Amino acid sequence: MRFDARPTEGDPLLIKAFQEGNREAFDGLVLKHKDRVFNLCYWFLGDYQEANDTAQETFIKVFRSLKAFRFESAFTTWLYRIAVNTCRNRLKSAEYRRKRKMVRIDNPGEENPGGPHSELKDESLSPLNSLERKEKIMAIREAIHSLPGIQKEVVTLRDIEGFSYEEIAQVTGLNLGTVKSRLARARLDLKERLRSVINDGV
Amino acid sequence: MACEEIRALLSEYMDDVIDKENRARIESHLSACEGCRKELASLRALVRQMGDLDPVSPPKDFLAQLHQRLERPPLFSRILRTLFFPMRFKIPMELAGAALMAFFILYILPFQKEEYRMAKGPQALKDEKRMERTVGGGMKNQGLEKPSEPMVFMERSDVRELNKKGGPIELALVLRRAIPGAKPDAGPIQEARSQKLMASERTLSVTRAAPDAGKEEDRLMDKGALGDEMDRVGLRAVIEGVGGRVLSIEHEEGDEKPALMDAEIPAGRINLFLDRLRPLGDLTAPAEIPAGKQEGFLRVQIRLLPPT
Repeated sequence: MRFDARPTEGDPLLIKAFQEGNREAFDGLVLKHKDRVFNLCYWFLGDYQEANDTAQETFIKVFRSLKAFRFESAFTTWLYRIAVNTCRNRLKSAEYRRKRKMVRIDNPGEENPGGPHSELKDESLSPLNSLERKEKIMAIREAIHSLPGIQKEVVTLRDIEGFSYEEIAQVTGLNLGTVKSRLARARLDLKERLRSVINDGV
Repeated sequence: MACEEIRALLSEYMDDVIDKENRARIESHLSACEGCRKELASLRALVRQMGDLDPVSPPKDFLAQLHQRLERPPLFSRILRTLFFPMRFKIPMELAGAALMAFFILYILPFQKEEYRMAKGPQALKDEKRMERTVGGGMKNQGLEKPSEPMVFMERSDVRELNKKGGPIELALVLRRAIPGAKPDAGPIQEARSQKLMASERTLSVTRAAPDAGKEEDRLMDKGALGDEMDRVGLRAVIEGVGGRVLSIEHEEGDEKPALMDAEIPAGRINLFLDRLRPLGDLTAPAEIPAGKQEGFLRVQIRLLPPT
């Protein structure tokens, strides 16, 4: 289930309220956007705790710069640009690299003992089906996570998060042509890796 | 249009961001080519199934956590505190400014939670070796580098005191040459050198620190690019030849596709290890490596780089 209707209406009101001194308006923005930002960080970083830290850091940056926000772009574009850059920095950090080597990125249970197993909501599935589903989810996660940086970014933003091509270009700083070509490449890569898992009915 | 060209454009076609001319070409091709129709169908299935994944939710107290973090004193004043109080060594005034800049650029931006160390100053600082350190093994072996080799580690200020608080020794190895005919995406394959090295290693007894180290590594190697496999194999032979073990291997994304290898080397063999690394390429190592009679293992991190 993707995020379909993007909650962009109301953002300017909240921002203006914040800029006029209403700090709770910031909370409103966080509550509106945290799920999507978190999900993005999760897919970029492959780790629940890292995703939490990075999402938090993203909103801290937003908080610190929101007073100066000039509405030159949509709030969400600005927000996701910050999120993407924060994720990129995190991926480059030595600490992240050290952690990543030690933890296998396949079992949600290992990474987030306290976190929700939201990937497996439908309990009406028989045990065999739910196992298959879980394996498929893990396979997709690993496949996406093992893509090279840019490809991973564009395919996550497009196929996991549902951004438009223009939004992806704005958020990543890539030009539109690059977005198209990298996305095509990423999808081809994934299709090959996930051949045995994706049910394409062909 | 050939199938290969068509398939490269299916992604754009599917998302309806393709130009009119190509769209017409694709549609006419698809009407006649079942293979490409199937490709389109499986592409659609992939994208649909990715879109069907449930989002992963943040913790319920996300906002509360955020408030807590926002209450903390700002990063800047924390940095200043650890940076200037106390000063363990003297830096000329103009270098202090440069050091501060370097410190901010290198550490504040990328590292959120790393322990705050003092900037060690720019690479040109000669006094660095004479400064007091609290390294466990002391600074014995200064004669590690030969004059002809690069003495300065690339990210000099990144060199941590030897495994103090768990920091690894960071090494960089620029591999000498690639085998002709290797795939452009694959890393250089040092077959000749690695095999030669491996042959010489066989005469030594290899003691593995942990029996399942190899399995972990194999699993990671399967995931990473196979192109760099030979380098890692040669490197692994060197590591194991001194009685060390490989902890993990990482294939990093990026244009030059370096790989990182984490290993443990018996402290007493660290210099032997470095000597054995040198034939594999241009080695850059920190200037101070505590040598000799320590017990236990040293953590080492080796960055493999393609030949320039």
